[in-house]
Amino acid sequence: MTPITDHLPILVVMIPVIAAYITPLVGILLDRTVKGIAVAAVSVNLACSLLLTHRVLIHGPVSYNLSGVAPPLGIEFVADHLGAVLSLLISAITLIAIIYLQATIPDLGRKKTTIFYTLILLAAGATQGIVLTNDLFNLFVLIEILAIAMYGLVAIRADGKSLLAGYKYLLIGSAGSALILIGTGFLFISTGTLNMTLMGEILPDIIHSWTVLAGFALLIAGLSTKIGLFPLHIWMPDAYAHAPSITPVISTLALKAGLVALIRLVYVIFGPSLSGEAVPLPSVLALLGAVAIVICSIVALQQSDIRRMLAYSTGANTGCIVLGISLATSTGLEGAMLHMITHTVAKVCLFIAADALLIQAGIRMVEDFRGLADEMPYTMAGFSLGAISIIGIPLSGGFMSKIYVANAAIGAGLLIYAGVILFWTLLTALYFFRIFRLAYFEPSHRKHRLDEGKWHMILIVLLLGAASILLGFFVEIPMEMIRPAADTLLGGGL
Amino acid sequence: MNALDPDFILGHYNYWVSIVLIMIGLYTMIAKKNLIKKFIGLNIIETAIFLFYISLGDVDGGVAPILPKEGAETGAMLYANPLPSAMMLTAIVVTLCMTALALSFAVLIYRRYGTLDAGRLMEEL
Repeated sequence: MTPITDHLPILVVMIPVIAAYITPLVGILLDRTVKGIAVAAVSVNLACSLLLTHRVLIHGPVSYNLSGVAPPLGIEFVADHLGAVLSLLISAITLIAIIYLQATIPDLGRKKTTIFYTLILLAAGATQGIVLTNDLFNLFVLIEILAIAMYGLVAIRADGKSLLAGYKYLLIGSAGSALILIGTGFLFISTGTLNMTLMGEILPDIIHSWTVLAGFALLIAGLSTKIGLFPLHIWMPDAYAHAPSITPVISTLALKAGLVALIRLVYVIFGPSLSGEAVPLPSVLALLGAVAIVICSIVALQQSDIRRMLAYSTGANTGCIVLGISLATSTGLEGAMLHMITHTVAKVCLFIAADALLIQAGIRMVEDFRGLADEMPYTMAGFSLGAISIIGIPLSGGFMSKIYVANAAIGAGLLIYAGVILFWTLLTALYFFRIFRLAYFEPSHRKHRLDEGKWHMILIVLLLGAASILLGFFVEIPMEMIRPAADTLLGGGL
Repeated sequence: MNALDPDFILGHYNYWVSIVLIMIGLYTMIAKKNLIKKFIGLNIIETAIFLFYISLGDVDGGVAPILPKEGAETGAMLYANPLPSAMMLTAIVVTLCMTALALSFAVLIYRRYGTLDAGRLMEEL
């Protein structure tokens, strides 16, 4: 009998999924217990992620064979530094989201409580699986599970606009999944295996085959719909604007999981083959990332709906991460991974603050921020801290990660991309300063006083805001966890 | 192996069929206005992918990969690769879930707006 700690990689994935099976059964009878089950499951999940990360940091990457069948035949989970850190981030943010969710429930209607928790747990389990799996077909299945949960979370209100946004997301997402499935097939016939590490060993010999290149292109295109890389980000603004506000939080995590899949695709599967310059991949990805940064930021500047603005900002940040990934230097990769962490914390803070503002003050539009700092000072303070990190004002978390990516671009001799990041920072500052000016320097026109709401809402917003700033001061803590990941991924020969 | 060789083209007819089906599906998704027809296009693409995968696993003259009885003659037997078929069983289930979800969305959208025309509906968004 092996100790239970040997099974951590699968426990991290299965605990939320099993809880997602239990909640609808219990929810029929006892509506109120569902929240308890969800909080318990995600707490246990967080503990498992912590143990897993601890183990990975001390003993190095953990490989886990499902049902004990070794890789060529069986499915393998690998908890490397990247996977473990992201798994920790995902379970921590999911726990925060679930605790915060109580505030949203009255707004959503009691009947939907059970469905909501079930979908969040399902999404959490699938996201954990995506960051840990080392099998290409398993990745496809997990992406689909995540996608079904996300479509449900977008359309859960079942009013007209959220259904339309959900259907749009569903069409684009399913087309992306189909591309991923064809791409997987192409790589499978070329290599005869589905295990990513084994594929990486076989591919250098056949990298010039059109089948492999087509498979790679299909996989990148399919993943682009999942991570919302320009121009396939068009589902994001509608989905974020019309879905209940916890959906963007979970979606932020889902996008990060997709980016981890992209990193594995580029470095684990194709990494060794890229050294020969057979594929102009780095330049293509870098260009896509840079275009996403510029265009999404310009569009964000024109938005009057706060959620749409945040959605386009996410599109730009995804571009930055893709840019960092494409540079193929250790600084670039570290910057991309750090940006995944800092952006997640800051953006989740912004989404939750925006939700608190919507529930307490009915604020949707940028115009409504007028004089808000006097009336809801704590929520607005949290919002501002998150925004500072997203802009990348020096010493905040976002600043550190942007500097890493910009440094890597300069190091690789691509000054233009460093310029793009600077330009992007200015644009981001423009659209957030517009809000700051209205909130802090304009008088309010409201007739009645606003209430800040429940203490746990304020606490979560302030906590996330503080965390997004403090990440900049204690940047060495995440960096120490990430650095070995970048080294392992680049060790493939690039 | 020349790509223009007639034997090559005819010998891989199942792949050609799946390519043509994928193109038909893609056209349907883009050109049709009706939300349900758009999803039918996606279903055609998925079916073409199933055909593609099943073709991958097939071996000329191969039999179903089932373990023979004890003592049966097995030496000369040729098996089809079971892995692509197993993968497609999963993919079929996934596609079924997606279709069910999409159709239920379409029903709710129709009840709310009284139309399934994508052009008019996207103006509402």
